[in-house]
Parts: sequence; structure tokens; C-alpha cells
Amino acid sequence: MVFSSVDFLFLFMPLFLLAYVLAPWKNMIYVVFSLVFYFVGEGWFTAIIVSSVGMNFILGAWIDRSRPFVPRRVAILVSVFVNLVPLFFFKYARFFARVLLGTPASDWTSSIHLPLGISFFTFHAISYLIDIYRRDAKAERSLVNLGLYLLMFPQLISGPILRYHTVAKQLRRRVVTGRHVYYGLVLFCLGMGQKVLLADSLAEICDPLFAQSRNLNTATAWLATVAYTFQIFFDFDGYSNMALGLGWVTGFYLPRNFNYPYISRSITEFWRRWHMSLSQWFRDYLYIPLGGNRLGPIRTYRNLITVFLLCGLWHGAAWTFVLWGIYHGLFLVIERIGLDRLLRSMPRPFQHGYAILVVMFGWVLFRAHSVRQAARIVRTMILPTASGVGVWQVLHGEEIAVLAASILFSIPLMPRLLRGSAVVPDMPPWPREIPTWSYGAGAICALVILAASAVKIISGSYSPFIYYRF
Amino acid sequence: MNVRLSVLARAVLAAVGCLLLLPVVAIPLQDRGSLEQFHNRSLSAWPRIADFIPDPVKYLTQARLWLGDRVYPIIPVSHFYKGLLFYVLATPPEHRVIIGNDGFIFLSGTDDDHLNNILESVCIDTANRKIADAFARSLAGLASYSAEQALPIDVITVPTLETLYGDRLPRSVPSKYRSACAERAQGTSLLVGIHAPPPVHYVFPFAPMHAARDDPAFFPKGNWHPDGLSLEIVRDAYLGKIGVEPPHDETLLRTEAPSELLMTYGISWPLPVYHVTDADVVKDESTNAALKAVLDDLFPVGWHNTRAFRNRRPDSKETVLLLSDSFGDRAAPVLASGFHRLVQVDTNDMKPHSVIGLLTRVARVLAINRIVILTEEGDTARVVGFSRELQESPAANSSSSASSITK
Repeated sequence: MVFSSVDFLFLFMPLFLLAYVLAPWKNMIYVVFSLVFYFVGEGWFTAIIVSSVGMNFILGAWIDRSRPFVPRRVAILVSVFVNLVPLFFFKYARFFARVLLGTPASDWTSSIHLPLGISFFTFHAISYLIDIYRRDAKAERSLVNLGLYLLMFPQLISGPILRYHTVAKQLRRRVVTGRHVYYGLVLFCLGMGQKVLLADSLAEICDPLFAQSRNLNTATAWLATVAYTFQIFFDFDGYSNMALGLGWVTGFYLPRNFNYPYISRSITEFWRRWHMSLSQWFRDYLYIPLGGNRLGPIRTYRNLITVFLLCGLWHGAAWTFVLWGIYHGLFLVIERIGLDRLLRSMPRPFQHGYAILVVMFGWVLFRAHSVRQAARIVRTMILPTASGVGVWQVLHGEEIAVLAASILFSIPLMPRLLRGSAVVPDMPPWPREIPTWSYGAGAICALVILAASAVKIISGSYSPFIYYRF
Repeated sequence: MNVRLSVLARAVLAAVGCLLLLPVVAIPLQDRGSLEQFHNRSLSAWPRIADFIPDPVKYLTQARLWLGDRVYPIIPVSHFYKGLLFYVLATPPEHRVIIGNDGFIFLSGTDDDHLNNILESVCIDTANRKIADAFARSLAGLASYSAEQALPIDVITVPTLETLYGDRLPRSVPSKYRSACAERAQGTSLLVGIHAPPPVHYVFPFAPMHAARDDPAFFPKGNWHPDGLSLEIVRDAYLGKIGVEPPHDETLLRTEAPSELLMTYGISWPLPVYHVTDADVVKDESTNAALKAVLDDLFPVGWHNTRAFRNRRPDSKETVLLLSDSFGDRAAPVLASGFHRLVQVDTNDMKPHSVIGLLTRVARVLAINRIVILTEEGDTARVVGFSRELQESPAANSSSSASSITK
């Protein structure tokens, strides 16, 4: 079930809101609805995530009660390993069987089912266990509360990745006021608009172009890349904002996941603005334990490449994702070696141009179904080619309007313009001295966006989330 | 656990929940017939409860389809959305639909992932010597089968809007296709020069259709399928070739009708059209029902596309079997004016290698005196396939299938 679907928006979500408002045992209600949400897409494979909850409940208690040092360290290593085994099996067995053992594409590994969101809930579980190990949090004594942390449907299948210690207290105690509801619903509507009105419309440009990549000319190759660059951002940021909004509405402060990444002036900065919950997870649970930048430049570069290789692999079991991760890791290394200093001496437009171009070429790898297709598209982008699908075959009034809106909303201009006239959803703490008409203006904007999105959803546009199977 | 909601929070969330439930709660307000007409198919059924345990995902997916078909108010919302895109933003409902100048609506591809394959087949392949030669050989094959079986077989290839008006394609179409289609509009298709050996009659009526193209209601200009005057010209060209008089009491009425292509997406874009009416041609529902019954296993479950007509005052006493692609659906009643009876089978969804089976089954319903194969000009491969299948059939060198069809 995706948020931008008829069944979620007009059945699941309203029933959840009504149940959350009217019934007691709110955490239990949350867990039940989250299980239903997952069950709709996974059926009896829901048992996998339910097992993960039970298993991590036991592992968390084991780590918490272990004696200092050796057994505690053993406990955490075993616990992390136990969590990684199903992730490896379900997501990577087929890839590694083909790569390492040379097994054919049609062997038994090709029938392994990939549970929705397995990468996300595995990382949540590991975060829970490591936070206990580091004594940043105590093991959860309520199975329902742990289940809520791991299963919470707003972030269950596509993030943001929650660090346990940031939500531990909220699992037990939270308050929802009118301002939570206002900011949460407005942010949810904004996210819905990003996803449905922008990302899905951009998909209608780039999907047919990527599908016929052999028939692109230079202009359409660039158009496909630009469209996908915006599509993936609004798809993911939109979903994250919907998750944040639903979180606020239910009393949870979920972390912001994107901070206008396309205004970055370097790849280093890009990764401080893009999928921040994932990059922080990798920083805290992998990069720093590997030594971070404390062991000299060579090891730092090694650590960066390692982290980004795994980051690429986390996104998908395919060479395109692995190479995408290494590609970003290499640029991070090159910037550390000296490119960053050089860039800072350049005019700002040059810095922005460099960053966005590197990111866009990376997205070609990310989106392509094979390395060969990616190479073909990049070659078409660089070497002038005239024949093929025409730009104006896919670019009409709607697409031009959406591209213009995408550029506008990918930079922090609109919030600055609106500030003072409408209440713009932003991370808490929220200001208190806001005139009522300002709330009204924000609510009207949100309702307009929601209504427009609802029109498009009801009209039957198909809109799967890009990160749905991560 | 301590979760507190303020009064205002409860009130707002409850109100939002009730509001968002309205499109589901209001489903019973909609008329089922209107919904089926809107979707152009039967509505998705609610899944059987027995299917839940073995495959709950499939069960719930079907339930979601049920909901998606009926969510309120899907009809006005969809029309509004599509209309907004088309009339305000000048955006076609799909990329493969080309909005040309002067009211022309062209189709460039079979779907958005194959944006130009229709232009490729009608404008470029029709100038391909290998394809033309293969087609010519298939006509020879049909001639051989026809002679052996003593069963007349004729082939009609119908030009498309994209070639008749190939010089009117807008600049958004890549130049490769624009120039090729503009050339085809001059009558340079290799199909023009093809002659079938007797007893097959081959008709490609590009010249008479091109001569009439300046009439704004001719094709019509917003259709993929020809209709009205264009089909009358196709029919008359064919009847003239086989020596049958065209009907004399037919009426040709000029009116307006929505573009066929845009109507598929709920956009009513009125364009001038002709309606051809022959009062002597009536639908033969009993024969059609019998046809559907015998052809059942040759098509996907529940899918039939057959028509049957009877002519009260035909010039020819023949019963014709029209095998066609979708171009035959509208051509059938027009062609029926020239014969005593005509049955049409749209073979688009027919299982592969089923032509012989189809002929045998049709013979159980009525005796056929002539077979006509009708396709659009980019679909010569269908004729090649039919010809190959007929030549390779076990009955190709015996008279058994002929006697079963023409009894």
C-alpha cells in the first residue's frame, strides 16, 4: 500500500486517525494498523517482520543484561549478525550467487521473495541493538513498544531511518496538541503534492525515455536525466514529508530526511543534505567504528569507499547500485584530497554546477536497469546525437509546468517567500506567536494541494514509490 | 504508556478522518451502469473470501481494484483532470497521442514505452523492400491455397491517417518519421505496386482515399480507425475489383462526433465525420451468438470480437468471412452492403496458429463463399502469418477443409 493510493488515503488513513483518536491503547492501535499496512503488501510474509520484532526483543534484553565487555561485545556482534543474515538471504543471495558462484539467473535464488522494506527495518533493529550496547538507551520492556518502533507504518517501508534512542521516550510518553496536528497535516499534504503532482508527473517523462534508451538523442537523454533527478528527489522527499507529517500527528518527532540537496556545492555537502537519516546511520554505525577520519588520510579514504560501496549495495542488489555507491565514494575522496579546496576558490555557480552534474550522472547509473544501459545513455548525453525520440513528443504543457515547479520547489525560495504570510511546516520547536489568519492561509494551501493530489489519485495514475523495495 | 491528545487535536483528526472517508462512503451514490460505461469494461468484482487464506495479497489487491473502480466521484473527477490537461495545458492523454494542427490527432506508438513504433511500421516499413517482397510472396501463397481449395481469398490493406496525411504531422514528431510519412503521403508506399496473382484480389486503395482527403470529415481526422466516407471508398474499391455493384440506397450523413482517440480518455473533442447507413444491412445476432460459441476456445476467456450481418438486397449472393485486425470492426457493416451475409472476426487477441481452427469452427455455423483479410497498412505481417499457416496446414493439399467451409 502506498500513501498516494485510493485505499490508503480514503480508507486506511481515515480509519487509523479515527481509531487513534477514539480508542485507548494507542500504541497497540498503531501496531495493529501497521501490521495491516504491511500485510496488504506482503501477506503471510508479514511473519518475517513479526519474527524480527520478537527476535530483537530477546536480543535487546540479552545485550542489556550481559556482563561488561566480552560477553556484551559478543552479544552485540551475534545480534547484528543475526539481523544481517535474513537481509543478506532475502536481498543479496541471488546477486552474490550470480556474481561469486556464476549460477544462472533462473536458479532457486531467483524465486526468493524480497520482503518490503527489509533494508529499513533491519537498520532500525540494528540501531536499537547498538544503542542498547552503547548504553544510549535501555532495552525496551514492552513488546508492543518495540513493535511500534520497528513497525510504525509511516516510516516502515521507506524511512526515514529512526535511531532508537531518539524515539525511545516518545514510545512511552507523548503529547499531541493542535499545533502537532496542524503542522503534521500540512506537511503530509505538502509531501503528497511533491509525490503525486511532481514526482509522478516527472515519471511520465523519464519512464518512457528510459524504456527506449536505444532511441534517445542527446536532448532526450538529458531530459530523461533531468526529469529523473527531480523525480527521485520529490518522490523520496515527498514520502519522507508524509511520514514526518503522520509522525507529528501521532506525537512522534521523526527526523528530517532532506535539506534541499540540489543546492549543494560539493558532493560532501550533498550527502549532508540527501537521505540524512541513512547517511547519519552509516556514519554512526559503520564509518566511525571503522575509524572514521581519525586514522590518517589513506584509511579515511578506504573507510569512505567502503561505506559508500555498502550504501550503494543497500539500495539494491545490482551492479548499478554498487557502482553508484563507489562513484559517490570516489568523489568524496577526491574532494578530500584537494578538489574541495579548489572548488571553494571558484565562483559559486561553478560549484553548484559541478555538484549537480556529478549527482545527475550518478542518477543515470542508479536508474538504469544495467550498466550497459547507463553507459549508453551517458554516451548519448555527451556525444551529440540527433535522431531518436523527439523532446517535444514527451514535453507538453503539463510536463513543462511540472519541470518549472520542480526547479522552484527544489530550492528554499518558496518557504522564504511564504514565511510571514502562511505558516510553513518546519522542524520543531514551532513558534508560538502566530496570527490565526496565518494558520488559515497555510491550511488553505494544504487543502488545495491535497485536493489536486486527490484528483490525480482518483483519476487513476499509478504511483509506486521508487524506494518501495529497499 | 502515556499518550495524550488535546481536545482540539482530537476534534481536528476526527474531522479529517470523517472527511477522507467520504469518497468510500459515497460509493453507493454512483450508478453501476455509468461506471461500467466510464471504464469501458465490467467493474472489478469483490474477491471470494475463500481466496484470502491461500493468497491474501491477491485477495487484497482485487479488493483494492474493486475500490479503485468505484471511488467517489471518479467520473467527474477524471473528466475534469483529463480535460484540464488537454484544454488548458495542451497535453495529450498519452505521449503517443500527437495533437496536430487543424484538429488532427495522430497515434505514433502502441504505448508510451514504444513511442514511434506505429510510425515506424506505417511510414518506414512500407518502403522496405524485404517486407514488401515477403508480403507479395504471402499473397502468392494465398493464391495457391485459394486455387487448391476452390475458395476465393482476397486481401485489403487500408491506409492510415498517418500516411494519408503524413505531410501534416507536427514538428514535435522526429524528422526521420516526419519525412518518411510525408513521402508516403505522396503514394510512395511499396504496397501500391503490389499485385496479387489470381485468384486472389489485392486492394490497397491509397489513390482514391488520397483524392478525397481534403474533405475535413473524410477519415475522420481524430481517429486511428477509418470510418464513414473513408470506409465507403475502401469498400467500393474492393467491390469494383471483384465485379460487385456497390449499394445504391446507402446514405452518407455528415455530422459531428468525438475523436475516437481522445474519447478513449474521456475527452470529448468533436470533429466532423460521415455516417454511412444502409437500411438493408441488419445485425444477425443469432449467427453472431453461434460464432462466439464455436470460437470460444480460440480467444482469452470471456473475450470475443465478432460481428455478423445480413443484407436484405445484396448484389452478390455470397457469404463472406472477414478476418481482420481492429480496422475490420468498423469496416464490417460497410463491407456487408456488398454481400448477402458477412461475418467478421477480429483476430487481434486470437491465440497463435489458430487460423485453420477458426475456419473449421466457422464452417460449423455457416458455409463461407469468400474469405477477405483486412488489415491496416502497417500490419502486413499478419497476412504473412495467415498465409504461412494456411500453406503449412495438413489440408493445404487436400480438398477436405474447402468442402467443410463451402458446404
